[in-house]
Amino acid sequence: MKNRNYIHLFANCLITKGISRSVICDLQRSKYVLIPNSFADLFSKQRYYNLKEAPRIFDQENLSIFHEYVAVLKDHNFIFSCSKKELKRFPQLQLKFEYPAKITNAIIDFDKNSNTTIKDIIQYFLIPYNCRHIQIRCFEDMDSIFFDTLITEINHCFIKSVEFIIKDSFEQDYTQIMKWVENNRKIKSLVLHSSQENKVIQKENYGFGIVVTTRQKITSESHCGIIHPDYFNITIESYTESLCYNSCLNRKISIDKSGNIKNCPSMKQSFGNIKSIKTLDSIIENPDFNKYWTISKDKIETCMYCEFRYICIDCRAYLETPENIYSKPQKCGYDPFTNKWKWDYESFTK
Amino acid sequence: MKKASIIIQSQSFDSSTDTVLMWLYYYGNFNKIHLFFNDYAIENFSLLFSDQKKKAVKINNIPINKCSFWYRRGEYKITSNHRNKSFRKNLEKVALVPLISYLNSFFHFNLINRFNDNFINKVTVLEHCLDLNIKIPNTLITTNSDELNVFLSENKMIITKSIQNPFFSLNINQNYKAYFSTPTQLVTLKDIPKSSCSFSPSFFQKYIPKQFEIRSFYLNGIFKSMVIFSQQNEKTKIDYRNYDHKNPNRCVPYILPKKLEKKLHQLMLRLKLNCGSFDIIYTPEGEYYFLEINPVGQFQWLSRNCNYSIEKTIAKTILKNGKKDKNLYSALYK
Repeated sequence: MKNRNYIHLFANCLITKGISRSVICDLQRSKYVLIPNSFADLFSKQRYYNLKEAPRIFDQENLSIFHEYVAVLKDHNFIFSCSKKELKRFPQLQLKFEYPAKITNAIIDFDKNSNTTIKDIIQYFLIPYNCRHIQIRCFEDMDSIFFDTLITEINHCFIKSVEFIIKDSFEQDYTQIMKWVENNRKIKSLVLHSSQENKVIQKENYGFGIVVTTRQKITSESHCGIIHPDYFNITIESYTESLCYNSCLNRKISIDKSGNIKNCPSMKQSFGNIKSIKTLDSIIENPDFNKYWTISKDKIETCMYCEFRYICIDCRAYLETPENIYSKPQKCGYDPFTNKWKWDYESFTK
Repeated sequence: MKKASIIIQSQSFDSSTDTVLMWLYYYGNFNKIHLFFNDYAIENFSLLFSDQKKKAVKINNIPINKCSFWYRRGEYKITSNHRNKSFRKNLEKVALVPLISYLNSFFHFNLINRFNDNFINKVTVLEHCLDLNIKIPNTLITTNSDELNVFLSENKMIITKSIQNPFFSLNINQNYKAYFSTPTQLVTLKDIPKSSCSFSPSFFQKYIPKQFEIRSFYLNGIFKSMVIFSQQNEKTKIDYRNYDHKNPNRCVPYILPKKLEKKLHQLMLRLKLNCGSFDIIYTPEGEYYFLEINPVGQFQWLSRNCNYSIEKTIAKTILKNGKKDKNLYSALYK
C-alpha cells in the first residue's frame, strides 16, 4: 500500500478541452486553472497517471515540463496520490443533472404601470412548477411600500431565494437598505443600478445578503446577455446542467413589466399575458417556448470549441447572426482560437 | 396502484426535509403529505387491534399504519390536561409514556427510520462490530486512571470522545443555560493523573492514523459513499467536524469494498435500522476502521458533493409504498 505512485484527479476537478487550450474546473471550490491541451491529453482516457511511467514516456525536456504541471495540480489541490489497488475505489462524478422542478428560475420585471401582484404570480406560475428562485427587476424608481409588500409575500411563501436589480435612489446613504436586506434573509443579492460607482456595499454571508452598486444603467431588458468571466458558474449543478441544456434558458420563465410571459424578457416572442392566463402548463409544453432549453454549448457555433463552455452562461436573445439560433452570443468578446478577449462593456450596453 | 399518503416527522428548518419535499411535489404521485414538525402535539389518538390481524393506529385522525413514514427529526408531544398536577404526572407515567414509546418504535412496511433510532447505543454497536469482524479501534471505557495508563502505553496514541451524545446542556440557576460539546480529542500522558484515581465512566479509543475518512449513507441495503480528505488540513485532522469553511476538505465519491458493505449491511439488520450514515477511517496501510453509525445523520453535503441525489432516492422510497421492500421488512424481523 505504501507505493502510492499514481496521481489521481479529484472527481470534482474536471478537464474541459478547448480548441487551443484546456481548463480544469474545480467544482467544489468554484475556480478554474488553464492548462495546455498536450497536458490535458494525458488524462483523456483515464483520470489518473502513473508517475513511475513518466520517465519512460517523456524525453528529458518534456519530463521536466510534465513535473512542472504536476506541481501546479498539486498546488491547486486538484490531485491526490494513490496506489494501483486503490484506483478502483474512486469513481468518476456522476454527471447527470437532476433537479426537482419544471421551472427552476423566474425573472419578474415591474414598473410603475405593472398591475400584477406577486401573490398571483407565486400562486399560478411558481408553486405548481416548484420554482423557488426568482429575480425581480425594476428599471425605474419604485417606492419602498412596493418592495415591502413584495418581500412580505416572498417571506411567507415557499420561495428560497430572491435577487433584486433595482434603481439606486438612495443618494449614497445605504444604511436603510442594508438593514432591509439583513432583515429579509431570502434576499440573495441586491444590485443597485444607475449608481455613482461600482462598489460592494455589503459582502455575502454564505451566499446570501450581498449588496452592490453599479454605474451601469439597467434601464431596459437589453442590458442582459453579457458574457464575462465574472459570470462564470463553477458548481456541480451548473456544470452538469450545461452538459445537456442551455445554461441560461433551461426551465426559465420570465414575466416582463407588461405581464407578458416569455422564456427570457429580452426575447420578442410572448406566449400570453398573465392578465388572461392562469397556468403555464401548455406554455411549457409549447415547442416554440422551450426550443432553446436543449441548446447546450456543445451545439453552439464557436462555443463548441471553447474551453469555458461548461462554466459559461449563454444568451439566445442577442446573437451574432440573429437568424441562426445556433450562433454565438453577440455580447461575447472571447475567441477560443486565439484565447483573447476583445471587448468592452460599454459597446454592448448601448 | 393506490396512491400513498405520507407522513414526514421532522423540524421546520431542516433543509434535507425541504429538498425531499421538493422531489415529492415534483413527482406529485401521492395522496396527501402530513407534516409532523418540531414538537408535534398528539391531540387525539386511537389504536385498535382486532381479530383477523386487523390493526388501525390513528394520530389526529391520520391512519399512520397506512401511510409511508419518514422519520427525520423532532418528536411527539402528548400531554394530559387534568387540572391536578400530581395526578397529571402520574397519568403521564402510566398511560402516556408507554404510548409515546410505542409510537417512537412504531414499525411497519414502508418507513425510513424511527424516533428511537436516535438512541441506538454506541457501545452495543461496537460489540456487534466485534462479532461481525468489522474492524474497530481498540476501545476502553473505564473509571480508573491506572487502567487508562496501561491502555495508553499499549496503544501509543489514544483519543477520547463521548460515549453516546456529544452534546448536553445544563441549567445554571434560573437565568442561564450552558451548552457543552465533547469533540474527539487526543489524550496524552500529561492529561492523566500520575497517582491512581477514579473518574466517571469515560470513553477511550486507540488513535487510528488516517489516509482519509469515509462517510457512507445507507438506505435499504444501498450504500452511497464519500471520501473526505481531512488529512491535508491541520484543523480537520483529528475530527473532520472542525470544518474549515474557507478551504473545505476535498469530498469526492467513493466505492467501499463489497465485503465491507456486506458486513455493514448485516450490522444494520442486527440493529433493525434501514437508514443511517457510517463514519469510517481508511488507514495509510489500507485498512478500514468503523467509527460509528449516525442513524439520522446529515446526508445533504454528501448528496451535493457527490451528485448522488440522495433526496430523490428517499422521495422515491417513500412513494414506493412498501411494495418492494417487504423482503427487507421480513429480514429485519427475522
